[in-house]
Amino acid sequence: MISTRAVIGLAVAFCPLALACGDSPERERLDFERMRLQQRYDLYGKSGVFANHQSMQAPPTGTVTRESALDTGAAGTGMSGGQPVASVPVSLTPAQLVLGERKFTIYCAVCHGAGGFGGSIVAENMGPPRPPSLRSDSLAARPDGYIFDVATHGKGRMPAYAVELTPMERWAVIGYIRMLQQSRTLTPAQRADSLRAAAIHSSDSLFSETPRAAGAFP
Amino acid sequence: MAALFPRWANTVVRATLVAATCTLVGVPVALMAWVRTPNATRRYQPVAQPIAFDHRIHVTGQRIDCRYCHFSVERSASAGIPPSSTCVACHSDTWMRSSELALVRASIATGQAIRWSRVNALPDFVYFNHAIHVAKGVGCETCHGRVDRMAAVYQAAPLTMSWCVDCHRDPAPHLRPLSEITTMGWTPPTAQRAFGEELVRENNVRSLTNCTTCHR
Repeated sequence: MISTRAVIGLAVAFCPLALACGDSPERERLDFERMRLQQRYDLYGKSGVFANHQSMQAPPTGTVTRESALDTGAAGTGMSGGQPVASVPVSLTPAQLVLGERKFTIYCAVCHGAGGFGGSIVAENMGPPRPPSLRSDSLAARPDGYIFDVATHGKGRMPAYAVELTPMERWAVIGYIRMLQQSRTLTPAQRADSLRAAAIHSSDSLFSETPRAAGAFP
Repeated sequence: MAALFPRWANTVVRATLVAATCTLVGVPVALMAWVRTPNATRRYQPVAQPIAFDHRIHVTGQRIDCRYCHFSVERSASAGIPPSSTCVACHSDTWMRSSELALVRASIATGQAIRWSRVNALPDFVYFNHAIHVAKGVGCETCHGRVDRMAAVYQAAPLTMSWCVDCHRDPAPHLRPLSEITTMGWTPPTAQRAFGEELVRENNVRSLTNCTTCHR
């Protein structure tokens, strides 16, 4: 009898705790959700406003970016008087050549190889026409503006890199390519590129009617 | 006068006290432990994607740098999901007739983006910026794991606040040289602690632990 009263007393004592557990108001939980999922557009998010249900919209046709509006001269187009500029029209600091090396390694070396020999794994796996060597005499003789144009608009199977690389970065890459053409030492990655390029070209020449000149690769 | 309570009431009281303590301590501890488990953080669970894109083929097989496709990582808060035009840059003839690429072809034809599923999601009150992290020597692998070994990408890190703050308090054990940002399976040349401290000085890495660093 008395012990029953004790049990009831204990139960009453725990009542507030039990209530607190069951009393978590739904509104509070929703408020937390409202913080976690805020009413705003995220990158790559959905939108009910636009017809294509994307929060990210392509700019209207003919939109001019501030960068392209500023770079209408040789530095932005690589052209001067309708002709490709002979040499890089901006001054390249050593730091920018380091940037050029980095960007080259990301975007160019994928196909043209770490040393510019054209001996990348991608080049090996793709059929001819393959990415050319950037160390050839013919490219060394080309003006810098020509390389800029190819990087900007693409050429043959090569896509355009105008989105990935800003004009300044493209000039930095060109500076690095010119350094590569002068370079007579090879890093291990560049040596692997050179050896693979030689292997690709010897196997290609087996199947082509006009074999390439020997000694084109160091 | 007879005893107010029977003798076994002592046991009831003790047992109740023990049970109450265990509940009061155990339930919050269990809940806190639960939110950190891979189940609750959705760690290691491959996410189904509209296209069975395989990072192993592209990263390990073709040796393509992460930044070739995720090109906005160095200048934007978002690393960027590559636009379909990036796919087509190579796949204009390579595998272009494959049924795997049907969605890419459709996307190019209609201008409608491919609806990839999000793998790493942070709450909206967290403002993460990729550019500053890769500029200060936090590699892709540090948070995203060995993507070069993932057939389908999964969330590799817990993405809990304590996980973020651990590194923000003491970045040195998690840093690598800027030239090795995208390297998968990078190992420090010397002991990571001393090497990391060196990188902290070299790249001027600050330990930012203000609330407003991430919450705005």
